[in-house]
Amino acid sequence: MLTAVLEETGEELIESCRRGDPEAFRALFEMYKDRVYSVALRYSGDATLAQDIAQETFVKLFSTIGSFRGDSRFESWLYRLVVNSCFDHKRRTHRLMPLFDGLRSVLRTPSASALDEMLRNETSVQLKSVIASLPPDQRMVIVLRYTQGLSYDEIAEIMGCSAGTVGSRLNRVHKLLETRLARLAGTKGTHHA
Amino acid sequence: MPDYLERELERHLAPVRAPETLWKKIDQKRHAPVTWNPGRRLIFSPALALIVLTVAAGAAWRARDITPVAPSASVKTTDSCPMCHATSSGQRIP
Repeated sequence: MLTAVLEETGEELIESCRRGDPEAFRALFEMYKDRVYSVALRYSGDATLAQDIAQETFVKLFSTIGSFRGDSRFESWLYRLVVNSCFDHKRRTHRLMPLFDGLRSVLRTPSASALDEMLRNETSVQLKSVIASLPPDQRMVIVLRYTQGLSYDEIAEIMGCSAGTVGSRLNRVHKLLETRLARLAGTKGTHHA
Repeated sequence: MPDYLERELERHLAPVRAPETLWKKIDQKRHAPVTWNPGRRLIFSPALALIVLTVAAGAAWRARDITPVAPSASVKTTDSCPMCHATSSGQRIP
């Protein structure tokens, strides 16, 4: 049954969810769970918090899907729910952790020299600290851009601002990261030359 | 923005897979019975009722003490004032 539901197109699935079909809810969850969870995790930096955010998002989605009129794309509507849940959690908890889980294990490669590893770690620490210190809207823009690969227009639609605002927020973050990491990049370049 | 920074961001913010337990968590939350939490309401209702009762009782007590002001016997309400009780012809208004 679930396989059959999974084969439905997005629109049919949404229609089935509106009718209250539990299998359709499950199929919709399977379709979007990774995207929702990824945004939540990259924004909050904490697996437990990310699960709470994802849970809240899907519960809200299932209870309000009847009000989805199709004026915007379903994905945009869903992303807006995730973004709002992330912001609500930030307001409630005030204890967001640094962004990246298991960062050291990702960066660590068997062939890396001790200096390479040190530089990589230093880069990740700097990156982590800059992103963790960003205000919520800037952090969300960077997560939607790099975790989901969304365009400026798509991010603008989700965040309820102009594409120009998205561009300037990203630019600000890039400049900040560039300044903080410039020294390390120089060292890295010299080392690899 | 330098390429290395773009690459670092893409790598560090890469998407992840949702944990298998997530659906269970969501399903439990969806089917959890809606519980009425009367705690706050129950604490505040008697307190509020007590305050309203005290204010009402106080107002009633004050109202009981207030006696209507009787017109003073010393004030004469005669028509003896020529400013008010005279016509333009000098005749007094009866």
